[in-house]
Parts: sequence; structure tokens; C-alpha cells
Amino acid sequence: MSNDTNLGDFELDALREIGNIGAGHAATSLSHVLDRKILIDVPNIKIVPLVKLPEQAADRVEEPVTAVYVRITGDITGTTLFLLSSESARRIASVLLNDGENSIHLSRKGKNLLNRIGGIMVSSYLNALAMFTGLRVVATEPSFAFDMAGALVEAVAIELDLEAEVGIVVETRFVDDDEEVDGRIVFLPTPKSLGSILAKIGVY
Amino acid sequence: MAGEEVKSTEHNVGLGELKASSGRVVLVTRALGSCIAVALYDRERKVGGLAHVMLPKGSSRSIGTAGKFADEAISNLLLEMKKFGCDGTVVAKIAGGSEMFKSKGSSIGTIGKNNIEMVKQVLRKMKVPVVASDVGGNKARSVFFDTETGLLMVRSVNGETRRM
Repeated sequence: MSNDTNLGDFELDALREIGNIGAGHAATSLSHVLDRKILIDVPNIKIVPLVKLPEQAADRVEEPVTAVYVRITGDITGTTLFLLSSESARRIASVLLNDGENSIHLSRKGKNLLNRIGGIMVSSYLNALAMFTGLRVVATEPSFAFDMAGALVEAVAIELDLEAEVGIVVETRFVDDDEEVDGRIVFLPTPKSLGSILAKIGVY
Repeated sequence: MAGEEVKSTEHNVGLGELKASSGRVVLVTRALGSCIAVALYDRERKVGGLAHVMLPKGSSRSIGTAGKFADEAISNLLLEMKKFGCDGTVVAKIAGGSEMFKSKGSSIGTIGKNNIEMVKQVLRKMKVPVVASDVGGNKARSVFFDTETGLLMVRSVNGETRRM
């Protein structure tokens, strides 16, 4: 974990708590959909220059992933991304559609399904965030993409760069017991929104 | 890159950066989304340069790196190429500017398009001809620019490549 600006322990704890609560709710939703136990890791909190975000967010920037993007407005602004390795995406689609999704390309049905699942997970996350903080969180309709991880994160980073040079990254990974599901929810509040969040949960 | 190019050295050009070189060097930018890779090539002197442009132009608050904004990146790149003997007579090849997410109510969908427009406009103003382009659409691109030959290779996520 890197913390190269001025986040103190309280702020880090608060963001970790948000990651936990949000991803916890999202994981419960995914558990229901897949009928299997989904576990979450300790959220990873980072402050990174947005130009470094793509390489930090992916081990290999060209790795194919499915992504669901939601832009947040309301009392806070930012972005939430739900990322799944292409392997996991195929497994989930194949389990739920029961039609052996095994080509590198997901079928249209598979994509629609993953978009819906991503949408459910991101809403669970944001609902939990709104309940926890008492802030009004308005989300755009989820948008789905399947492509290189670096390019998808880059697009998100540039949109955030219109407002500030650094990104606050609250990343929570979730897996299942068989390690068949490997995904992440990345919450990227704008630096301005961080203040609103912290003020609401009593850190400031 | 393909086997015959193993002799070349690869240099990565990160987000908002630019690099110039000559000889057996391949300038690489992986996983471009809404960004644009602007490759300039001096055919006479065999000098090449690549800028990884993020946004059309900076705002008053922005701290830009040399290649970040389209309105400055191209002249900055030419300056860099002059260090390698380029006299300013170049052609351009451009790739990128995708719409990675379609989204109502956010600006993410329009950044790529704005980048393409601005890059083309700046090149036109500087009288740099665009001899090849692979821009727009909704797919990510990895770009490999050979500064010796001026060849630009564009690769997508499924491994499809285009040489131009």
C-alpha cells in the first residue's frame, strides 16, 4: 500500500471501512446470483497520480478483462469500476447460462448477463456507501466493456483527470473458495468528495 | 513484435509522455483507450517520435507533461526530434481515440473523439500530413512505432494487427 500524500491513519481506516462495507454488500449480491460463497480481501487504499493508474491497476495492461463502469454524481463525484478477469467472466457466464462459454469472446448473452451482474454489484456497493455515510449517491446506468485492462482504466483515469491530478483508489478484491471467481471493485472518489465522505463519517 | 524485429530496442512511452529516437528503436504504447498515439516520422533523416496524448488541451489548473495535451504535444515532440537531427519535415501516423465506455451523463464517451479532432486540427495547422490513421471506434490499441522504418503497427486485444 502506498500513501504518498497526506492521508492519516483515520482517513485510511475510514476508506478501508467503506471498501469493506461496500464490497461486502456487493459480494453478498454476487453470492446470491452464483449460489456460492464469495469472500473479500482487505481493501487496498492508494493515492496515485492518475497517469500511473493504468499500470497500477493491472499487472499486464494488455490483459483482457470485462469491466462495468458507473459514474457517480450527487453529494459526491467519482467512478466505480467492477473488473473481472476474462477467465472468471467466462466461468460465471458459463455457470449461469449453462451453455459452455469457452471461446475467448463472450456471447452477446454472456455480455448482457455480466453487465447486469456488474450493475447489481456496483449498486450494492454504492447503496451501502450511501447508507453508511448518509450521502446522496446518484449513479449513471452501468456501461459494459470487454478489452485491455489498461485501456479501460486509462479512460476512467482521464475522465477523473479533468478534475484533479491524483486519484484515490479504494480497491477490494473478491474470490470464491475454488478461486474460480477473481474480480475487483474499484471505487475512485474525487479528492473533493473524500472530504465530504470523511466529514459525514466523523473523521473530520 | 514479430521475430524479425528482435534486434530493435523497445522504449515505452507512458501516459502523457513523448519520446524521439532514430535507428533500431521501437517506441511502444500499450493499451491505448481514449488516448492518441501521434507518431511523427522524418523520412529523410530517419528520425521518429511518439507522443501519448491524453487530452485536447490543458486547463489553468493542470500540470501537463510534455505529451499530455494535444495542443502542445506535437510541437514538443518536434523539438525532441530535432535533437536527433530532424529538420521539422515530417509526416504523421495516428492511432487511438476510442470510446471505451458508452455512458450517458458522463464525459468518458467524448474524450476520444475530442482528442482525434484536436490532434488533426493541430497537425493541419502545422502542415504535417497525416499519412495513416486508425482512430475512433471502441477498441483498445497497442502501438509499436519503428523509428528506423517509420512503420506503425497497431494491435488489438484479440491479437489482430494492422501495419501502416
